[in-house]
Amino acid sequence: MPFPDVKLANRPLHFLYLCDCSGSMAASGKMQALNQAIRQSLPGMAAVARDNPEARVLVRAVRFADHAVWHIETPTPVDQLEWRDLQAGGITAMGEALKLVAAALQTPPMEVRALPPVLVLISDGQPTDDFAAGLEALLRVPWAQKAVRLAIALGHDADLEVLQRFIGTEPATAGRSPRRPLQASNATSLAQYIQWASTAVVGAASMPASRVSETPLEPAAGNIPLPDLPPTVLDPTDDVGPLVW
Amino acid sequence: MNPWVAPIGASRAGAAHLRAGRPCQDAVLCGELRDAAGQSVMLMAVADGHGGRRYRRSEVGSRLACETALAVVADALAAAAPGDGEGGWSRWLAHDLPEMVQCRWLEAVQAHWQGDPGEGDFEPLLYGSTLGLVVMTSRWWGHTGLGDWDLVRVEADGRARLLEEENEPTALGEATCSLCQPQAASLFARRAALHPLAPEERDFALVLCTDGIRKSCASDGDFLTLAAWLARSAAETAGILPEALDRISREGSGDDVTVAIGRSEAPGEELPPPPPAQAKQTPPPPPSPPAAPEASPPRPLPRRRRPAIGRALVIGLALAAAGAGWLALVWPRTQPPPQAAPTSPGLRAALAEVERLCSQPATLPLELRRRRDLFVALRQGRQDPARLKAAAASDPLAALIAADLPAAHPRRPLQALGACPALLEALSRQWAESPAPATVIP
Repeated sequence: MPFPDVKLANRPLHFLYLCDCSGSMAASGKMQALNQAIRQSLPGMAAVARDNPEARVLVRAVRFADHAVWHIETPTPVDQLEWRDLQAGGITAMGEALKLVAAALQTPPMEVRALPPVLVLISDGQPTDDFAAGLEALLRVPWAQKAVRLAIALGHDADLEVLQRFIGTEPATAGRSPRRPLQASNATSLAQYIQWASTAVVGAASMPASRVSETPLEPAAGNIPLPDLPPTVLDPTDDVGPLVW
Repeated sequence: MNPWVAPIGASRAGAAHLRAGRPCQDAVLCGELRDAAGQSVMLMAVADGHGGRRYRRSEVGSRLACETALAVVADALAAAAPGDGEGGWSRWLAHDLPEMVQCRWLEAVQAHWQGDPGEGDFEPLLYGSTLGLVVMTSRWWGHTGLGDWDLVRVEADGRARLLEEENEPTALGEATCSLCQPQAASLFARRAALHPLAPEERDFALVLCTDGIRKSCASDGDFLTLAAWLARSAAETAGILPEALDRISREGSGDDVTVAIGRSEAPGEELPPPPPAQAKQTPPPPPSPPAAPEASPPRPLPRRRRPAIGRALVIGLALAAAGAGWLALVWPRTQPPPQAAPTSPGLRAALAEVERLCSQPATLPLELRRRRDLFVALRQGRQDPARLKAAAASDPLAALIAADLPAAHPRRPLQALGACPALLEALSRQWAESPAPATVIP
């Protein structure tokens, strides 16, 4: 009997950037560095996607300043993505951005058989709106609970406590420190973190291994085991160059 | 006479596993046993070893899971049958067998470790695996297990419906229940059921598979069509399975893929070809409307829509006689209830949704499961049912779920919308699995 007329398909992997575009991002070239880091990371991300054909990597981006809006609203295959520069100006509506992402992670439109999404929050300051309400809305959505949530703090004015709440608390496991926000103090370290998130993390999320479900006795050790950071940035608080921000 | 044909199965390393040089971590085992009276009993088991680095011996764990299951079933069959007939076997599937399987699996993996110790200390986690098991006797068949396996029943006419899937609240993302968990035995009961084998329905197949197959399909309709094809093809040529599984993994999820197929046959009959696609099946007739005279729709409408509007009109007429009692339960009080005809777009959308859902009973549980967060939010008071019902035109399924929120009154509003028993049952199951807020003791 011939194979039936059914649609077999790889699984979508949604990768979402949440980018702080407040006025302070214009200072010391942070906005320019972020645009450049994301743009330069795309070829590597596309290569990882090609190496993992069972996953269909789709990228979106939200910018938040006075309000949160989609910068890239349509989930776009990484090899078709052309990064348009973000512009800085305004305050930091981070809570609104989380609500925007929460709505996008509802099922539908999210596919039931999707891979756990990757959310990367990048900020250099403190939220100026109701961050707690935004985070609560986000974490109510099952896909957000399943997501790999990463945060990158730009400079020393970033609110690390808020970013830690976004990524959640994860206890230390054998040989690993508890997860913390990544702290980028200059353009070089920012580029390394973005590169890591868009390649190593995407690679891990593209081929997830099943694991034991969480129990009261055995908390989950993260949705996707995160790969190690590059050797030069093994400790997220290490300086990897001159302090600029 | 046992109507079951000897089950067959196959397990293949996934395309992504092959590329990464990883072994197949799935396992399958099919067998024929004898009970104490010498009657033939068929068994099929599938297991999926967890792929993470923490579970580095899971390909052994999955194999031992299948072997242990077969040994435990064989022992139970050789002993005296549990009392209380099928009720006793039902309890055995849900409680006694799981206790024995977990206990003996733990012994087996520990013995394996002692024979081939690796780095570090032994822990069952290293061997973590799921287990799905189907036992087929001449009078009943039953399933049990834990983890993210799926079980599909394929009828003689090719129709397929999903009987079992993992529905654990803690099994998020790629997480699944496992034999290595301390409470594993207690997790079997939710996946266990015994089905008496009626003489008139002895012509169907059961397709038991690990999650790699369903995750390779673009939709659940595709998955059911594929399951029906596998049942049919394997009945003709068992050798087709490895090639088919390789293709499924290669063009789909890349995960390991495993299937086991059991068939009950009426003498002299065989399964006809499956329909070309599940979505193209002729839907069953729409559910009967409430007792009231059928009325013609106000104007001709496309054929597909006519039953819903016709039923709505009947409901509207019944409503006029009954004083709009039930509708007040269904729709928010802020909206005037429709009178003789359903002019409300929300009501029209809800009726059409009921019709659509009831025309695809096989995918009903899946559709509702996708809205699981909504069930939980409504249960816990985090969603306003009135707001959802008011937005029925844009999200009719959410409105139907909100209208069915368990309340003090015994009559379910959806019955008045013509909801079929399958829909009501599927909703009830979701409510039962949605935790209510914790009770606060003053």
